[in-house]
Amino acid sequence: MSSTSQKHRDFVGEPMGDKPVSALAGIGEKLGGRLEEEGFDKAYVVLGQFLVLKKNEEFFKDWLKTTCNANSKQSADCYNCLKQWCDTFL
Amino acid sequence: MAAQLTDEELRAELKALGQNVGPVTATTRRLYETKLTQLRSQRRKSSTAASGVKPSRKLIGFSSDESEGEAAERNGQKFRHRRTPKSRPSRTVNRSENSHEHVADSRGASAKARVSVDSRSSRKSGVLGSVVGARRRGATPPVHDHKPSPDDEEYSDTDGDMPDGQASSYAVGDEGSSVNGQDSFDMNRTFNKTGGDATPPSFSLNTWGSGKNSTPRTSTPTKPSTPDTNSRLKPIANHHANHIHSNRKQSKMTVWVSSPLSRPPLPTHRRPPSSSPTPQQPNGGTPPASKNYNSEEDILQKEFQTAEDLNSVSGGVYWGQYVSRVLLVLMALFFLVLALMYLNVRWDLVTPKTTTDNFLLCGPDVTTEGCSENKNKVAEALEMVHHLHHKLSVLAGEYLCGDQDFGLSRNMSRSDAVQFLSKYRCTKPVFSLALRLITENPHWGVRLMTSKGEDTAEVDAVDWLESTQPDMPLLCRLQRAFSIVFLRILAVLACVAMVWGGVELMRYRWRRQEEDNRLMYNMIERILDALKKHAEACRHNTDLQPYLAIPHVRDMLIPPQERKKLGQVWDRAVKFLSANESRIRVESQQISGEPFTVWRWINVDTPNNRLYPPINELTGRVKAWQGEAFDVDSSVNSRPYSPTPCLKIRNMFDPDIETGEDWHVHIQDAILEKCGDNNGIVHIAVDKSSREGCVYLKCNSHDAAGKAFRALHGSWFDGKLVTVKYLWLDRYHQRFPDALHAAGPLRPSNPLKTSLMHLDKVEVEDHLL
Repeated sequence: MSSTSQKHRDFVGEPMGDKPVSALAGIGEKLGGRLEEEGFDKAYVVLGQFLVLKKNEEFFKDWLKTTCNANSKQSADCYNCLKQWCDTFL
Repeated sequence: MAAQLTDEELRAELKALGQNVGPVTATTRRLYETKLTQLRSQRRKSSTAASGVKPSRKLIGFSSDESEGEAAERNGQKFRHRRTPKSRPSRTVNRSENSHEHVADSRGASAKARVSVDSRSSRKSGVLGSVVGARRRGATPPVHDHKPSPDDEEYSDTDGDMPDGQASSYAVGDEGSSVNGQDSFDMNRTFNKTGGDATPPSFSLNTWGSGKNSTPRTSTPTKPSTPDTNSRLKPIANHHANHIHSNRKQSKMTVWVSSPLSRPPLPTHRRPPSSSPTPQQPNGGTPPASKNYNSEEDILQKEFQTAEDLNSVSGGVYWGQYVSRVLLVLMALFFLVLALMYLNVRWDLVTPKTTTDNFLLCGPDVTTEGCSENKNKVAEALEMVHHLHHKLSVLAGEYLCGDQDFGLSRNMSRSDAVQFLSKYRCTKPVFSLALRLITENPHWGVRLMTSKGEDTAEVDAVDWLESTQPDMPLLCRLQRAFSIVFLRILAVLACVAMVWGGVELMRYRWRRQEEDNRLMYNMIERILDALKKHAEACRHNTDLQPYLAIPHVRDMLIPPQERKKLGQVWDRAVKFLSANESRIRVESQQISGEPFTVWRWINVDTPNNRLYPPINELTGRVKAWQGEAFDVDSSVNSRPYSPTPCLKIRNMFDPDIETGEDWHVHIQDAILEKCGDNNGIVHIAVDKSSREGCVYLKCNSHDAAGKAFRALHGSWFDGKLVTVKYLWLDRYHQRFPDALHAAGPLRPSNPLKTSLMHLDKVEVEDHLL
C-alpha cells in the first residue's frame, strides 16, 4: 500500500477531538509552534481552515506554506491526512 | 491592486476567472490575493496574445470596463422585457416586506459582526467580516440614489414603494431577482458560470440551506472589479438581489435568514455537498463520508453495468459489421439461384427454336421419300395431327392429374386413334400421312411406340401414340409444383433434424458419461477416506481389524435409500479400485464366521493425506488462499466501521479459464471458509459472467461485513489479489432480490476446508482428523 506514516494512521483512525495541532501528519513541533502562534492551536482549527478553503489541495498547501513555512512534503502530508479524515468522518 | 478589493469583490474576481473559492476570511485573504494577481498576470499575457475581450454573455469576458456597460445594458434590457408582461404589484409588495425583513436582520447582525470582527476564529470573522463589509458598502445610499444608472429607470415602479434609498437597492435587487425567478433560462445561463455567491451571508445561507438549491447564486456577470463607485454599487444591488433571490427560492428557509447571522456561523452539522457538483445520494445510508460515497456510487453503477454493457457493446460492435454484409451476400446468392432455376425451367423459351417443321412436301429442293405433292392432303394431315396431339395431351394430363382409377393410360392405341380421328373425317391415307409427319417432326411432342413400348419411326409398326407434353390444368400444375417443393423441403428438414438429433444425442451421452465418472471418483474418494480413517483408528485401537469388508464399506458410505440408485456407481468404483489403487489390497477374510472380500489399507505415510483443492493443470495454480498481501487492519483504505452489510469481492476467478460444472461452488466454499467463524453471512452469489471475477456477499450486520472485509481484503487467492469493497444495500437487493429474505448463516458445502490447506497445515490437519 502507499507509504502512510504511523502518525497519519493514528490521526485518521479516530475522531480528532481535541488533539493538538502537532498531531497532524506532517506537522511537527516547530511547525506546530508556528501554527499555534497564528492562532491555530488545535487540530480542529486547522480542519476549519481546510474546510473553509473547500478542501482545495492547492489552496490548503499554499496556505500552510505561507502560514508556517511548511515544505511541500509536510504540506502534502498534512493535506492527505486531513482529506482522509474528512473522507472517513465527515 | 488586489489588496484594495473588498472580500466580496476578491471572491467575485476569482470566480470570474474560474476559481470557485471559499469564503475570504482573514486567514484566506492573503492567499486569494496572491492567487488573483497570479491569475491576472496570466490572463494579461494570454489576452494580449488572443484577440480582445469578447463581450460574450459568459462571465469570463466581463472583467474589463467596456464590457461592463454593454452587459449592464443587456441585463437591463432583459429586466425591462421580462418585467412588463408580468407586472404584479402585489408581488412587489410581498417582496418588499421580505426585503424589509432582510434589511432588518442584516442590520441587526451587523452590530454583532462589528464586535466579533476581532475574533480569532477564522470562519466567524470571515463570514461576519464580510457582512460588515457589505454593510459598509450598503451605507452609501446617496451615491446610489444620485447615480443615473439605467437600472434605476427601469425599476422606477418599485422605487416609489421604498422611501429608503437603501431599501430601494434591495427593491432593485428584488426586481432583478423576481425576473430571475420568473423566467430566467437566459439569465441563469449567464449566472451559471459562477457557482456560489460573492456575498458571504448568502453563501452561508446556501450551505445551511437544504442543499437542494443547486441553482447558481451568482454575482452578476456584469460587475467587474474596477474600484469605480458606480460599478461597485451595481454589484451590491445584484449581490443582494441574489441574496434575496436565494431566500425566495428557499421560501421555507426564510426562517434561517435571521438565525444564521445571529448565531456563530460554525457549521456544526454536516455540510451537504451542495456546492460541489456531485449528485445527491438517494440512499440515506450513513451520512458520514457521504461525499466519498457519491463518487463511489458512480463507481458502483459503473461496476454493475460493466459486465452487461461490455458484453452487449462489444458483441454488437463485432456482429453488427458482419451481419449486414452476410445478409447482403445471402440475398445476392438467393436471387442468383432463383434466376438459374427460372432459366432452367424455361430453357426452351430462352434458346431459339432451331427446329423447323418438316411437312414432307415435295418441292424442287426437298426430295424425301414418299413426299406428297398434294398440299391439301398435307393440310388435312396436319389438322389431324393437331387434333391427335391435343387429344393425347389431354389424355396424358388426365392421367397425371386425375385419379388413378380412371383406367386410362397415357397412350392411345392406334385403333383408338383412328376411331378418334374418324370424327374429323380422317381417311386412312391421311392418317398414315399424319403419322409420317409426326415421325418427321418429333419436336411436335407426339411419340409413336410399338406394342412393346419402344419408340419407333416405322409408320406401320406404330401401335401406341403418346404425347410428351401433357396438358394439365393450372390448378393441377400448381398442386404438383407445391407438392414437389414441399416434399423437397421436408426432406431437407428431415436431414437437418436427424443430424442435429445425432449431435444432441452424442452430447447427452458424453455428459452422462462425465457425470458417471464424477460420481464414481467421488465414491472412490469416499471409500479411500473411510479406509484411511479406519486404518488410523486401528492404529490407536488395536482391537479392530485393519481391514474392512467391502459390503460393510458400501453400507457405511451409502445410506439405504440410495443404495439401489448408486449401485452401479459402487460397482464401478470397486472395479476401479481393485484395478488401479495400489494402497488397497483385496483379501478374503473371515469376519464373524463368514468369508468376506475385504479391503486392507496399506498404510503409506503421506505427509498430507487430504483432499486437494482443484489444481489448474495449465497454470499449476491451486484454488486456495495463499496468504495476505498487506495488513488489512492498518491499511489506509480500511474503515473503522463498515458502512453497509454488503460486500463485493473482486478478482476471485477468471471466467474464461474456468472449466467444469460447479467451479462456482468451490469459489463460494473458499470464501466461506476464509471468513471462518463469521456466522453472519446470509447470501453469496458468484457472478459467473463478470470479467473481474466478482462475488457478492451479504451479511446480516455491519459488523459481520466488517469482519469478512478484513478477512478477505488483500488476500492472495489462486494467484490473484482479492479486493473487497462495500456495496449499498438497496443496490444489492436490486441485483439479487432473493437476498432480501435470506436469513440463515451460510456454511461451506463440505467441511474439508480445501481452500485453506496452504495456510496452516498443522491446524487444518488436526481439525480434519
